[in-house]
Amino acid sequence: MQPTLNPEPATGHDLVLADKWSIKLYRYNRGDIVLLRSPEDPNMMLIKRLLALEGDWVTIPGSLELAKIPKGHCWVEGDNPEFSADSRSRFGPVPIALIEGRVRYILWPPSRVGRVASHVPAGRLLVKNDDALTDSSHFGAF
Amino acid sequence: MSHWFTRSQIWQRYKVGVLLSDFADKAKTLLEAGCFVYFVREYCIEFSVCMGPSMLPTFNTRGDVLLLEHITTTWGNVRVGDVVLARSMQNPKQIVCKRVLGLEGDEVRVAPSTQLGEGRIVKVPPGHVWLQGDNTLNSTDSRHYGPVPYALIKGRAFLKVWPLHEAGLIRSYVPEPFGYSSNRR
Repeated sequence: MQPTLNPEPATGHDLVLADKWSIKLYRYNRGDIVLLRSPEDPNMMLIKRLLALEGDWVTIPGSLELAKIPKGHCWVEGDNPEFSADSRSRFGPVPIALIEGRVRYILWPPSRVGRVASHVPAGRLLVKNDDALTDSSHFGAF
Repeated sequence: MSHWFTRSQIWQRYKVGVLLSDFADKAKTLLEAGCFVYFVREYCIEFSVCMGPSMLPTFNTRGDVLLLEHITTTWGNVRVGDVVLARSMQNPKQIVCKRVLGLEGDEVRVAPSTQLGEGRIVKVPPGHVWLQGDNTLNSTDSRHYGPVPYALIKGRAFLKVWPLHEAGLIRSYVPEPFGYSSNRR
């Protein structure tokens, strides 16, 4: 997830705070950083950026291919395309039910304590399915 | 300057203290009970309802009450033939009840049908399982959406509690390709 998390791995790993409650209420958005179980190994947790939700179309950089996200799935990618086992390089769309938390804050190191920004890289999301369940499809705020 | 409490004032304070400590005791007991229930439900045993036609010979359409255990799944000991409850691949809000018919590395044969097209042989990738309903004709399962990540399995159903006349252990078996012999108890 460089450069968002662990920008200098030599100085140690980042400690983040993940919010499990909003996932229990199905509140997530495109662009959020999420904590999910690896589809290939149930004992491994991954931290990736949620790029697309069901019904969206994403472009794959470096190729002319497009990917459509099937029902109940999402597309997750690391911020560092060279060293990331994610939807693009390995396992394709993953079930949304694998997501367990939404990474909200960096707690350590002290120099970078603060909120984690949520953004979708420009030009990746080709078609956005407005019917997909997101944070804004819930009425009101908790 | 000194201040003396009257005897009744001291008595009053003492009573409030007793009330408070009593309340704290009760809150502690309640909290402990809550933790215990959470632990049992999350890591040991849980009640669950299985609805829909997909497991028809084994479970009824109207909704059978099952007991679910999490121990087998957390230790990764799920075997072929077990009935499991898993979070749906197609809808994160839904939970499906299916039978495990293949573990990672197994090769599974999908029979040809009008819905699914030609028959094929699928190799289950690492970290995945192959789930299929007992009612092959009316079940949306791995034949439609492919192998399911192991992490989606919630628990193994091991006991049917309701309806009472069918209550009993849930047998773990692999259905034969053409129809079943009796599997209802």
